[in-house]
Amino acid sequence: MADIEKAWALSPSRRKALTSLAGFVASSPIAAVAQQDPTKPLSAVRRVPGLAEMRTSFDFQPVFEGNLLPSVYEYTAHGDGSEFTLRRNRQAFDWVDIVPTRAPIPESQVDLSSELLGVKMKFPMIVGPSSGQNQLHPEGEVGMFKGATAAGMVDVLAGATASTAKTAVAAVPGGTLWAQHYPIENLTTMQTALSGVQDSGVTNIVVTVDQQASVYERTLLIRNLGGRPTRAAAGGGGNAAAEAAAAAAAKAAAGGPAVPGSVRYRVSDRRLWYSWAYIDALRKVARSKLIVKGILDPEDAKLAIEHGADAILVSNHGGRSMDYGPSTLEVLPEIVAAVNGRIPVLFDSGIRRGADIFKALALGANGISLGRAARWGLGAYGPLGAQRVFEILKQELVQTCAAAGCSKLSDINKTMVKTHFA
Amino acid sequence: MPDNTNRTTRRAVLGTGAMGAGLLAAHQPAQAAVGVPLRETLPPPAPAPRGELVNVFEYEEQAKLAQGAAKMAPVTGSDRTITDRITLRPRMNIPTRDLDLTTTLFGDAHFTPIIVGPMADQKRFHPEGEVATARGASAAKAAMVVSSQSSMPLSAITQATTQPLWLQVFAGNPRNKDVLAQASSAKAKAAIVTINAGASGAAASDHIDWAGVDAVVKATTLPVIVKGITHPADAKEAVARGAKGVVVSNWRGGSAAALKGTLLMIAPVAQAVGGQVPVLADGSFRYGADILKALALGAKGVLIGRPVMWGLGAYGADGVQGVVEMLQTDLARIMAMCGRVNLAAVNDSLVRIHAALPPAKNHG
Repeated sequence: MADIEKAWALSPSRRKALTSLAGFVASSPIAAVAQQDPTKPLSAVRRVPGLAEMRTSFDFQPVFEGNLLPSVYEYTAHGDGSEFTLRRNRQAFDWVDIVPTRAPIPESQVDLSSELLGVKMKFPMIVGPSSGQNQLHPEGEVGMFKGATAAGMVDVLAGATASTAKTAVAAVPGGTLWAQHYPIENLTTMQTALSGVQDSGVTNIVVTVDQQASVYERTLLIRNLGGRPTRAAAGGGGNAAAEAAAAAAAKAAAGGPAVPGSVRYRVSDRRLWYSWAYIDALRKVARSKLIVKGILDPEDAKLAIEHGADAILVSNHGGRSMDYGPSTLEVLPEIVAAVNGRIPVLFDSGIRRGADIFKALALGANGISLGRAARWGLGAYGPLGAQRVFEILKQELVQTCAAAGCSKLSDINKTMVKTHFA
Repeated sequence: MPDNTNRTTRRAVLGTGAMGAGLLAAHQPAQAAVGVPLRETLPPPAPAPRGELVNVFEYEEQAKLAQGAAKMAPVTGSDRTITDRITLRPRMNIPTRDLDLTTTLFGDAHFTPIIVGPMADQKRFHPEGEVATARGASAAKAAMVVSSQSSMPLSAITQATTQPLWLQVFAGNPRNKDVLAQASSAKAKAAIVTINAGASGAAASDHIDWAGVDAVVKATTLPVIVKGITHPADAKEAVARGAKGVVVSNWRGGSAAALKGTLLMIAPVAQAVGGQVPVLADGSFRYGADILKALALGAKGVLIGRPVMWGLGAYGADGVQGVVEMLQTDLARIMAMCGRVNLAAVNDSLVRIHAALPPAKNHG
């Protein structure tokens, strides 16, 4: 939650209002009846809010948290390192004001249709790839694809294989599925894998280039629950790989076989080979559009274009890539400037509200991707929950556009916002 | 939530009338006797196995548990405000398998640019004090600066060291000549003279005792590093007087808890003298990211003070090794994430400096 939401939830004036409301309710005859059994356990009167009561994406988060094991919840919640960048992603939206220069229009006049990477979209929003959706709900990735399709959105299947892609495509007729891919060092293996995936009905390919050695610390949740995982959690190479690196480094230091440089410093080299040459090889195998995910630098944006990307996704992996990197919103303008309209620029990391989407579009994004918000929906209420999160965000975006007098995508430009990046 | 909050709310809601009081009375939890606490106090947390710790701050927690907060108090604290103003600018798709953090300082090859800084009287934190620190630092392949206020004999520290050892003195201390005379038997490779901290390490004014610096330069053939520089003019003066290195540092004696990080002081000093002598820095380095920022801004190495003492207090020599290796690995990892394969590739294109506070917003 951003600071503004936290401040509202904890504010004294809200608590005072609730207390006086409680007093008012208590004085009513209905409450008197309810009070007659004061030994009723709190769990019997506490209830989980229903799907129809969800008003914002934030409302889904406590339901999501309540449904899942702490370790599963933590996987979604965490960011890399001290989570400075995770927090900064949300703060950055506070550094952009919407300053409408047009008169408001009715919501019915707002039409944000576009064609993006070969797909006609009513809204420039896709469901981003995220792993382990099977842990969030029994329907897993298929459930997310159902929810996305019901909301008219593209879904990106994380770590797609031929069989998972085939299953998802078969289960959701009429849906549009893209595949997310982590670089595979053996190019023959890569070609076989991606041929299979593309034969299964997947269209575009998203290649993620920002998870070479990400590591996260325990979140406050686990610490406050007194849990003490036996090992430091690590992304990228995975915890086992990091420990293997440490063991190999110790052996090498004691006279054992030489190891690559990174391993000497106890960093797994499993993903430290990524290169633009790999993107060239991938370009030859991708039959449709190739999107490079994880770009944070204008020079990298230019290189992506040079090496054949059809689009880039400006992303820090939801604050899970590298701590003390920038927020995506603050680097979006310079990347958009460097790309100069040659390819679409997509945006993710930190979107929670329609107004957030408006700001990203105003700063030049051609579309946005949803990560945690989508997971909250799926984990809270399954495919219907995911669909409802998407509908809420679309509705908020329409409301923002209407208030700002923007009837179409091209109206949402940088004259609509004032930035305070410092 | 504590029980009394619920009870108060119920009282407010139910009122103090007869019905309310009756309902409340019925609901009082049964208690054995007045004064018996409702719950036991929690036992103090058990010390964690060292392998479970994930960041250097957890070593601080463990040291306080192992030694008691009072004992660790002189060496606690960190500043995050300066480093939080600097973001990194990672580049993707640059192979970094052959990561190389080695650097040469004063004629010695160093495994990484992370050096154990001088801390006085380390027997405060462990019975073997500086000897345990030397063992741990050497096991981590890190150089160590030995304080002139060490609590263990220099010969014992030297015996425990397999890595470069530097000797620290305070400018103006009358014993400096004798301390520096031990340099060759201690196999020291450099001398660090701390300025502005007073002869005994107590806080002093910001007038620099240049005569004290001159005396140190005269008393040794070792390269002399002046520690405590915060302004480029002072860096130039130090080099003019024969310093072969400077340490950017705002420590002036006593506890460092209130000090801000020194990251933003590094670039002006490096611009002034970095072409002639190595510029090092100390002050609140807690993550690889902090160290990488210092290197990007022109430092050739960093000294780590308090975290090494946390490692020492919590786990002895193993803790020192753990802290240093944790910082080495974190620095290597973040260099890999940024696409910088060695220190030559680390420069100020890697950082962006932001204003002190984001502009105030009206939340209504």
